[in-house]
Amino acid sequence: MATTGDPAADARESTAMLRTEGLVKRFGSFTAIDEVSLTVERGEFRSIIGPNGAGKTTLFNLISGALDATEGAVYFNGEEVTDRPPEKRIQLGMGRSFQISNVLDGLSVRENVRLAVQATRRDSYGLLESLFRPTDRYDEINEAVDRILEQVGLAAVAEETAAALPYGDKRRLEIGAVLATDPELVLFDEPTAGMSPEQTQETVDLIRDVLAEQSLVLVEHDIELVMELSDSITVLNRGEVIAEGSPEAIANDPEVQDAYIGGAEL
Amino acid sequence: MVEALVQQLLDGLTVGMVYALLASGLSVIFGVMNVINFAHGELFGLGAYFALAVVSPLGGVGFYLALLVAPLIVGGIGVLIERFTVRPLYDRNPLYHILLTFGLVLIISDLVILVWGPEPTSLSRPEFITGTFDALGGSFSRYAVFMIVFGSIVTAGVWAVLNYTRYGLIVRAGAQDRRMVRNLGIDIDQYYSLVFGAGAALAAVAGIVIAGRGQVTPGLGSAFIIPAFVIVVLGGLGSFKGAVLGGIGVGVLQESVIKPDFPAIDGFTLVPALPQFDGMIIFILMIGVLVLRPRGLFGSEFNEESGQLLVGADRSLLTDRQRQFLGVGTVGLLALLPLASGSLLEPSTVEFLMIRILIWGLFALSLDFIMGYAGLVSLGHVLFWGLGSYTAGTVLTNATESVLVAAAVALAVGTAVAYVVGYLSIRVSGVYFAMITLGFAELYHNLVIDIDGWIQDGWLHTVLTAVPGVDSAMLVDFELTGGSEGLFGFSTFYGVGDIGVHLDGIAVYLGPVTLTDRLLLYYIILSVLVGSFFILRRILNAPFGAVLKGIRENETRVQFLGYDPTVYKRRAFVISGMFATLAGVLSALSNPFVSPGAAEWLKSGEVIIMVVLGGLGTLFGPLIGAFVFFGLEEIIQDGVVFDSLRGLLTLVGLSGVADTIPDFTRRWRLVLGTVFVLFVLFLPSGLVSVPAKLEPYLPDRFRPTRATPAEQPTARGDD
Repeated sequence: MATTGDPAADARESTAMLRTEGLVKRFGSFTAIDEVSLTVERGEFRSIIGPNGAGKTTLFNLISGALDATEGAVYFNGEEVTDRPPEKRIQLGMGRSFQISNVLDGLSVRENVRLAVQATRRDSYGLLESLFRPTDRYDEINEAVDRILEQVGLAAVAEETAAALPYGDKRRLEIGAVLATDPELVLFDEPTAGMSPEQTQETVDLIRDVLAEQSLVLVEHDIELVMELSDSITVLNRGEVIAEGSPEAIANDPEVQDAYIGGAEL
Repeated sequence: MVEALVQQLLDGLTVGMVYALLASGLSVIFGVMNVINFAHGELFGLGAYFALAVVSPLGGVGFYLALLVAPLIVGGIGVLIERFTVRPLYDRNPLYHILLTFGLVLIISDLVILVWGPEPTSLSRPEFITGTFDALGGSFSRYAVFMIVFGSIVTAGVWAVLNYTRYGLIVRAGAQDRRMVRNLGIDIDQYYSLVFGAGAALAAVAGIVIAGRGQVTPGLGSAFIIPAFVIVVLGGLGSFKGAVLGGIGVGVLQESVIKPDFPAIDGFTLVPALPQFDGMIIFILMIGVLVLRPRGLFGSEFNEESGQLLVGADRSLLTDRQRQFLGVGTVGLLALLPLASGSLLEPSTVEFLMIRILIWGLFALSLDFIMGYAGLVSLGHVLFWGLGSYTAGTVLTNATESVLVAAAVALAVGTAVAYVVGYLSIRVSGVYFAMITLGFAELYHNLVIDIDGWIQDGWLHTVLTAVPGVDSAMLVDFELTGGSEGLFGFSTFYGVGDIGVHLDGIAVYLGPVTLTDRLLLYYIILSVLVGSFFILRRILNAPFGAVLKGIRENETRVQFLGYDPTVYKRRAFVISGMFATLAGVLSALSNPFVSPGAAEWLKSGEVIIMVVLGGLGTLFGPLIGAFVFFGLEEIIQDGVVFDSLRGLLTLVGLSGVADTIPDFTRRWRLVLGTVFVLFVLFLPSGLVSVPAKLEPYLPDRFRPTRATPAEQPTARGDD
């Protein structure tokens, strides 16, 4: 890890939940992410905003490992994970929700959550057990599943096929599945996209309720929501960080206002 | 010397040109509409036959006319195929196109035999391009030069159309992003028909050109389609440049470079042992390229559009208890069958047909485990069947007659090979996976034919005699696989050491019923199948199986839950390989002989048909599929359909008509192909989905009650 010479800063960096260092992603000659360095502290609620095409989802993909970075590094919990595949990062405690609802459609609601819990308990059973012991005989896992289903309010529909759920419940299920992977940091990619104001409020309450302890990074279009929820905000434009700070500071930043007017969308 | 070299290169280039024409059509069709067209080889063959139809009445001069007319006809057929069979499948997983066009292969190849007969015919050529001409101090075939020049002109023409016309621009744009093109207001569907037709016409040109060189036979298409696919994959799916360069390259490699006397310099060959790898070289090349460059040489990174594979029972009409009852009942019935053999049933029904159905049922079950549960469509599953049969055969011939030992060795070999093949194959996905597994299977098919020759007096002989203690005399008669004839006459002892039974000639008398050795074998096979079914079901209900089902639903999602899908798929592949090997062992035992047919890729196709017929992603679906497949074959080949059709016509007083109808109904592949195509189009989830499809039309009292959630079966095909 690079040292800055400042012991206080070093200490802070090594305890940071997530840190990226000069992250770059190019697609051919197009630079989607340009030298992005950011640090998310333990327990922090960080939002990333920016006009369409600013590179928010790409940044998430780099952090979670869905894409390989062209340059730069990602540190998670003090450990470099730049070259680790997504599943390793998840195992280390990163959670990721997708922009387009991404549940296992053909499986039951319970099975969706159960698979996520099972992933975190793999050390508790051996290869033979994993091959031959029916899933309904792992009491510890199934208790945890029941708990999570209760928490996200899907216990009543646990045996339904995920595909049959209404949209709002699907997003709940996705949050439940992320929660079930027992993450320390959760990356939320527009969790309220396409929701009515009431549904949005419900989802936000749910996230606050079940993920109060975790560090959160949120990509979101609803600026009001972002201002209300976040501890701090990072603004991306054309792949670059143009501002970072508290909600108030961001709201008053002239460059941010420029970018949004230039990007013609708020 | 220069003359000899040119001669050799000429051979390579002529075949290379044919490959290029064939592969470029295939590749562009894939690039633009994501369709893997297995019927391309048959269109190629059709081109040759239509040319024949034009040339025979007109004589040699008709050849030029045929070059124009036959491709137009085949192109028209291509357009019809696209419109009526391929088009309805665009939203589905590209693997359904493989299945569909495989069905078309069966139909077209049987139709060709029906119309033109199975005998090879020769195509006469005009005077001008017959014979030889002198140059460079040697004489060369005029036709070879014609093939190269004509092929080059056609290829250059296609290239120019693709690059310099508006039509080509739209086709290329469609290959990049078809939705975008559609959003620009262009009716891309019209272009699809044209591209498919043009590809078919190119194939026809290639077919005519190759037919002019040799003969027209019904096997023309199947002889060229596999190499053509290898070339497309090598060059990168969708790449015109890749297909042309790959085609010429492979042609030159196959027909020139690896020939024993290349380059024609006395006493020098490039690599002495290379010619002995004749049939394998392209597969080795393809596997090598795919391992190093998973998208082929010129393939660009593209998002493979992957619609869902449609699995069998979305929901079950039966409760768990009813299913259990049905399962036990079926097994009970199967166990009672031998008692009826010789009285109610013909002896051959149980002793041969049912044995075959059970073994293939196991084979189909093993394929479904990776195809229906992990979404891996292997075109090379026959590899394991072959490994099982041959390893068992080799052990029984050379080492011991204990069936248990042979089976154990075969399983060990099958597992090891499955691990290696899985390790190398699973890093590529979708269509590339299908092709790389096909490559391994074809390699093995060639290996079993060649290896004895290698040991007896080939390169392995040289290698092995260098080992101390091995002398040449030991190797000359050595028989590992029996070459192209195979192994036969091994005896089977069901036991180990001194304890066990020889089934031969044994009969068990139970009052009026006699259980022959074949019937006892039937019981052995039935118990292996039932045991395998329960083991696989157990695995699917355990955490490992749960992850597999998740992968089938959405691989990315499972990865973001913290699982490494590659590891799971590889393990599933190994498990599947083990059971397929077991099926192969049983096949060797029941015959008892092994021939290279045990490793032919057609078997991979047939087993896929069974799985899809029955229903992907259910464990009983493949068993039903195997039963229906062989039942249908038995009925059709017996001529039951034909006889009853005739009988019916005679009955209504049309005996005159009855005498004139050709015996097409005995053409098993034609009927099978038709049934299969209809299934892919209209019932892709297989027979097991029929009850659920019928449910809305059932009277209320037959409908299942779903009151208690606890009893409701889990979402999808876990049984």
